[in-house]
Amino acid sequence: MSAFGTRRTRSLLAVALLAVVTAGCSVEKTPAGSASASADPARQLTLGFVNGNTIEFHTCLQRSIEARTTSAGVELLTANSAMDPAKELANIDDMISKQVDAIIVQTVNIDSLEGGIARANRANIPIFLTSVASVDQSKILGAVITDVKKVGRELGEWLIKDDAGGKSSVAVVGGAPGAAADLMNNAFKEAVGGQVKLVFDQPAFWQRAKAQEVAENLLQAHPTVKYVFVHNEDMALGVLAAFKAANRSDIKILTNGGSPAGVKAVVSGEFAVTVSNTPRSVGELAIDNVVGLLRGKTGVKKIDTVKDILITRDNADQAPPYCA
Amino acid sequence: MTTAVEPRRRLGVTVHPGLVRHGGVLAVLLIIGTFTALRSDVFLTGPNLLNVSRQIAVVAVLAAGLTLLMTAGGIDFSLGAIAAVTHGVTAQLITAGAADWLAVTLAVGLGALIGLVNGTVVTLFRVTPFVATLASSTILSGAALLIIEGQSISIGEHLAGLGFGEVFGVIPALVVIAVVVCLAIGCVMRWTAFGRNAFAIGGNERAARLSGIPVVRTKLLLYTLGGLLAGLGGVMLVARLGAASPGTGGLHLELTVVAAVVIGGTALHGGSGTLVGTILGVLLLGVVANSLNLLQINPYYQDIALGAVLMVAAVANHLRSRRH
Repeated sequence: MSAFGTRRTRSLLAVALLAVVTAGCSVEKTPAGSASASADPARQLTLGFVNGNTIEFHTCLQRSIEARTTSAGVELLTANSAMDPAKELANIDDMISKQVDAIIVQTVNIDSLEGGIARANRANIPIFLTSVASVDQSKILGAVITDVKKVGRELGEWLIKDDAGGKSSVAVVGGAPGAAADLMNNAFKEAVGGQVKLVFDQPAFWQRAKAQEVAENLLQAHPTVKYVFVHNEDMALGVLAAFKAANRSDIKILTNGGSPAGVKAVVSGEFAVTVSNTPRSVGELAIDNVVGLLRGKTGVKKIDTVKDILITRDNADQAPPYCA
Repeated sequence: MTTAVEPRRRLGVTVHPGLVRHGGVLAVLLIIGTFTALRSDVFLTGPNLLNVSRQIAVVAVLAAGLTLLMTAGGIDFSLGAIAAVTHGVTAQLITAGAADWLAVTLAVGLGALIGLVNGTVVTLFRVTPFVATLASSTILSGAALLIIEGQSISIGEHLAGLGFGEVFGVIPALVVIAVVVCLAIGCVMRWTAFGRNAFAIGGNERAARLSGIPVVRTKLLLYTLGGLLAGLGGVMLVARLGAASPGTGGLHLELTVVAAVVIGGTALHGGSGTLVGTILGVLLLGVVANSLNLLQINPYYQDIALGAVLMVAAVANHLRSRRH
C-alpha cells in the first residue's frame, strides 16, 4: 500500500510540476503570433535571448539585455548555447515553441545560424542578431553589429602610424579560426599591408591560459617581435603575463574589448591600445531596436552599428562602461 | 597473484623493460622532436624546453593522480572541472582578502573533498566511475562559472612566487611542484602497499577483496588524492595566469590529461600502468602544442595534427605492449 502511495504522490507531483512549467512557458501570449505584434504598441512583449557562450563578453551582454528589458517593461526568456551550434538550434526551437515576440541571437557560428533563421521564419517569429549579420538581411528583423572589420582596420592603421616606417616584426594571437576572428584579422592584415613583417599568426581559442602559452612560444620563435595584436582583452592579459614572466615590457600589445581590466592596462601602459566595443552598448542598442522595430517606431535602423572608440593612454578616461 | 609479483620484478631489472615498454611513445616523441628541431632553430634551446616544461606542469600533476586511479580500474572525468572550480575559488578568496596560504589550502582541501564525494558515489552507491564523474564534471563546470560569475578575476601580484618564481634561478616553481608530485606518486606506485593494492584492485577487484585488501578504503583514498591533485592543479593555473578566467581548465584540460595517461600506456580497465609512461604522454602532448606554434602550422590543421599524433601513439603503444 505504502509503495503505491508514494508512486501516486510522485506522479501527482510530476503532473503538478509539468503544469507549473507549462504555465511558466506560456507567458501572456496572444496566439496570433508576431504578425500582430507591431499593431498594438501597448501590448506586453516577450523576447527570447539565445546567448552563445559563457565568457566575460557574453555574461556582460546578457546582463545588459536583462537590465534594458526590465527598464523597458519587456518580458525576457534566456538560454545559452555554450559554443555548440546544435544546442543553438535547439534553443531557437524552444523559443519558437514558447511563442516569443522576437528571438535575439548572439550566434556561436554565423554559418550554422541559417537553419535557425529558416525555422523562425517558418514559425513567423522575427529573429534579431547581435554582433554579426552576414546573412540574407531580408530574413531577419534586424541586427546590432560590432564592425569587427573596422576594429581590425583601425588597429592596423594605429600600428602603421606608431611604427613610422620601422618595418617591425608583428605577431597575431587570434581567437578561434573562422567567423568574426577571421574578418577582424584579415582587415588588420590588409591595413598593415607590406609595411611591417607579419611573422606569427596562431589561435588561442579565446582562452586566457592558451593565449599565455602561445605567447610564450611566440617569444621563443620570434624574440624580436615588436607588436602583438591579440583578438580580445582576456587573452591579451594572458599574453601580458607571458611577457612579464620573460621581462619583456618592450613589446606593444594591441587588443580589442574595452573591459575595465583592459582599460586599466591601457592606463598603466601595459597595453598600447584597445578598442572599446562594449557588450553593454550592444545589449542596450539591441533591446532598443528590437522593441522599436516590433512596435513600428520610425527612425530605427534595421542594421545598426555599435559605436566603437580607439582607446589609448590619452583618452582612457573617456572609455564607456563595459558591463551593465 | 601476478600483480603482486610484477612490481618487484620490474624493480630488479631496471632500465630495459621500461625502454621497451614505452618504445612506441618514445619513438613518436623523438620523430616529432627531430622534425621540429630540423625546421626551427629555437626548439632545442634551453629557454624553449623550460617553456614547454612550464606549460605541461599542470597537466602532469593531474595526470599523475589519474594514473594511480586508473591502475586501480577507476577513472575520473571531473579532474579538469575540479581544477576550474578551485582556480575560481582561489581567486575569489584572494580578492576577498584571505591570505595566500589560506586560499591555497582551502582550494586544495576543496579539491580533495570533491574527490572524496566522487569516491563515495562510486564505492557506496556503485555507480560506474565514468558516469559518476561525468555527472560531477558537468555540475562542477557550471559551478566554476557561478563562482567567478562568468568573468575574469585578477589576483594581481598574489601567488606570483608560485606562478612565475624560479628555483635556483632557472627551474620554474611550477615545474618543481610537478616533479615532486610525480616522484611521490611514482614511489607510492612502486614501493608502498597502497600502490600495490591499487594494482591488485585494478587487476581483479574481487580477488583483491578476498585476499584482504581494503578495497573501499583504497578507492576512497584514490579518488580523494585525485581530487586533491586536481585542486592543486587549479591553484597552479590561477598562479600562472595571474587571474581566474572562464574557460580555464574544464573539459579541455580533462581530455588532455586523459589522453596523456592513455598514451602513456595505462590500461583503461586497470591493473597496469606506469608513471614514466604518463610523463612521456604529457611530454608528447606538450611538445606537439609547442611545435605547432613554432612551425606556424595553419590553425585548421592543428586539431588534425594533434588527433593524428594521439592515434599513432596509441597504436604504437598497443603493438608494443602486445608483444610483451
